[in-house]
Amino acid sequence: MCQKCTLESDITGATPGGNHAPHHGDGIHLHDHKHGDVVHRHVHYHPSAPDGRDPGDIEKGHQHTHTYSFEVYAYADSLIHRLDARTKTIAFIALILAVVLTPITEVWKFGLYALGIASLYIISGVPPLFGLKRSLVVVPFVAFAGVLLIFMPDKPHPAAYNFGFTHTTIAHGGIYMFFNALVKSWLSVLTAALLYSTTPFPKFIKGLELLRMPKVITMLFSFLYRFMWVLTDEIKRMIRARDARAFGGGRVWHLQVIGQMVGSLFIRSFERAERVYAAMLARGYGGTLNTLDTPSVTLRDGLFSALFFAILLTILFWGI
Amino acid sequence: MNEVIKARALTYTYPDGTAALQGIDLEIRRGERVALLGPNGAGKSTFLMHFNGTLRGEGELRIAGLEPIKANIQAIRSAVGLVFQDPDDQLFLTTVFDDVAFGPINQGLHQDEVIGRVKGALEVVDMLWAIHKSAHHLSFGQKKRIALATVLSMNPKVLILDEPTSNLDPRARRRLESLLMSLEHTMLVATHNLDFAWRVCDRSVILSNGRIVADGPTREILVNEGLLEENGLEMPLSAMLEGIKA
Repeated sequence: MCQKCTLESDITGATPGGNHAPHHGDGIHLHDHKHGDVVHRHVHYHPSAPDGRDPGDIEKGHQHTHTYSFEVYAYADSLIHRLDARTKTIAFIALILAVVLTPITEVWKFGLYALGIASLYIISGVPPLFGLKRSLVVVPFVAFAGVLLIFMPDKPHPAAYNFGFTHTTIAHGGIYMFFNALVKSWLSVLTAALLYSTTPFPKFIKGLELLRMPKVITMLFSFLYRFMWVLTDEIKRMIRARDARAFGGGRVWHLQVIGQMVGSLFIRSFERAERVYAAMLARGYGGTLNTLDTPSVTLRDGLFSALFFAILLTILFWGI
Repeated sequence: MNEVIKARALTYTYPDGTAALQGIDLEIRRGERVALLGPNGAGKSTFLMHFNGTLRGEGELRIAGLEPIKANIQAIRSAVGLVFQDPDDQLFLTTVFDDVAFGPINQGLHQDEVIGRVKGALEVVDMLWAIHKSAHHLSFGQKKRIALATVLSMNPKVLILDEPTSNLDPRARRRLESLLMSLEHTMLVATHNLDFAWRVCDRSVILSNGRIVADGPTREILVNEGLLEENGLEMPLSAMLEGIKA
């Protein structure tokens, strides 16, 4: 069922593409569909007319991802989505570097960075709330480490505060260090979330390859991406099989069973690796994992980069 | 050269001493669709592993006229399209396109030709619409068809299929069946699905304890109840139904 137009859509099993593009405009919307009895709700888009996009995006027709995956928005469409993966990777890594290199005392610059990231979110159509939720994962880590920094002795400006129940010495420098860690990591994670929400992972890997990232690393990434879900399914099946036999007993027994599950998962993965390798050999694998390069840097990428770096460098070097 | 596969007194013993193949004689001619039948542990998989040079036994073996020596391995792997049982093993790259292009790229084809081969193979299996998808977003039946496309794109002389119908629902199985029927490739299909063998393969070979115990037209072999019983097989329902009708 398409929420935008309330039309039944059935893309179960073999229906090719389920292409119902004509009945409403393109853009991101929520969409439900069924695989057997399981309803999947996910973000979904229809590409519009071929206005200079690469033909691959038009063929996609009904591209979508499932909500359990981290790339819910990666297949949507926007100015940012249409940029080449390399452009985005370089630009966003530069943004992270700039954030990290800016002294924390120049608070207003961080405001500008946040504003910049927010506008990138708005242009990309990825809800900023999605990025914020994703970025919350870092907060506990940073907060834990940062809180300790606050109470570190600080030579130039130690200050004692009376909270009514106790006298506490709080270092001004420590507060800065806390915010340094918190703000910088938060902005960095927001930027990273934007990168993976606007770039399908396969394109990201291909971008890294074209940027001369060592093949071994891109190979590891692509195998990880491909088999992460296969292994997750395997774990889920094992847990289901365990629970189906009324898994009970004490804590020690639980730990023993989990240990054995980890062991058998390792063996299963190892055996799968051997079968995959056999499949690679069968198709003539000779030591390098080759995929076709499809570079698509356009004028759009040039313009985006020029504008992006002009703004970034201005903020970074302002007042220096 | 009419024999695509020719084995003479082929034996293979695993390092642990298990004699998996004990003298196999088999010739498969161009255009034949041969079912390789037999109980679990009969040596079917071991036999199939010989066709892409993963295993090498004693005796004589010719694949597309080539001896499986090191210098010929790449040529043999180009000539033999081996489709594995679990498509999650066969599809190991991030997109369908990359997976189907993997073989042709390894064959050293030019970029445009690779793209043409990929589109052609995906069209044959009716999966062109999924060209930019990741395999984990597809159903099992769809993954099976793409696994077939990954070898069709290499223009193989012979297709070797290991349990092509396992875990497929009836609709997906029928679809795969008619797809295989529409291909003109020489085929060797290892399967436990005897109805599938009955409908798709004109010739059947029964392997038992590393030996070929029967080799002949499917319509003679799969109605020989004594022979089937002896080898842990049974008469396919399709054969029974046709028998009733006749």
